[in-house]
Amino acid sequence: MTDLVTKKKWDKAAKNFDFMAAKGPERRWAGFKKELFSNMDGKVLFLAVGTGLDIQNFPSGKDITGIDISSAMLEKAKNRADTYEGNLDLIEMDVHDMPFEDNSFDQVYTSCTFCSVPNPVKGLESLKRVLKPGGEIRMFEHTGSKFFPFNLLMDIMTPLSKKVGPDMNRNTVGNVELAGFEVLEVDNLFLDVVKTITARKPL
Amino acid sequence: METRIFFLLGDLFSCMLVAIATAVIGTLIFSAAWPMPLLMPVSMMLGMILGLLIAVLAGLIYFFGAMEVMVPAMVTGMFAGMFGALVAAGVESVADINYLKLVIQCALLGLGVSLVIRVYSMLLSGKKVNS
Repeated sequence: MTDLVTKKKWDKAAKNFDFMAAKGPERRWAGFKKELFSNMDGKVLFLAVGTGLDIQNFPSGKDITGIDISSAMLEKAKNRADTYEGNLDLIEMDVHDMPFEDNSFDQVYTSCTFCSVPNPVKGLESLKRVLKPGGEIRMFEHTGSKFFPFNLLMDIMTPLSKKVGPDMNRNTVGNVELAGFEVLEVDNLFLDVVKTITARKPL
Repeated sequence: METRIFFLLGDLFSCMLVAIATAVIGTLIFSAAWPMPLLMPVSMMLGMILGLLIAVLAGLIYFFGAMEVMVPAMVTGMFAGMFGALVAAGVESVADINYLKLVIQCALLGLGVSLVIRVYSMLLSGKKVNS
């Protein structure tokens, strides 16, 4: 069953999402995302496609299913999806309640997603279920920090930030491991806060 | 590691602006009436929140990035809030600081925080591979 509280939060955030995220953050990380997404292969699930800002970074000619809990976000993503040169389906869906069959995707991608999924370990377990054995999940995420004073700041700010958007102090690498993935690579891009994570569903 | 001049200068500018604005606001909020044991933690906490708000409201996030702006803004705000509060409280070591000196010193503070975070980030950056 769809988490209506989360859906409502992101439906509300959709109105100003591009204003906050489309310029600086996207320009800053577009190159890193393009590099990460260049590994897309086979049947790909893209979690939390949002307003579709990441679509411009997708390699062309791929078979991608993009899901998001927010219909308002997806409405904005439609125009961007129409410009994609490949097969890109957008579906409104909660990661905790995906109707896909087990082992149905070759790869899963996320982009600034697991700062916001209410129950990250369960969400990752859901992704593991639909991922084929040996399949990889590749994530571009911001997380909490292990280092002072950044960890303290983010712990303090998270109760405020989560009211309007993401948590700032998630241990996403730890959550990936807790969900049963094998972490293959973590690449810190800014402090130990912005990073890419590559993990694999065990065979 | 970020090497584009737009973002490098943007990071410096963001920290300097946050430092100046937070310290000035700090001087307006706090006063000598505040007991020192309360002044320090409250000004640090308020500075941190102000730093984040300024980063959002001044459009720094819009131009220069999200976490890459917010985290330095919070660190800068923490120090700048405390600095502004100390000036407002008339602490002897900063008693002769006027607004011009405050702006200059906060600009240097912002510069320093930005550079330290860049070095910190360089040390932490890179791939960790599990074999």
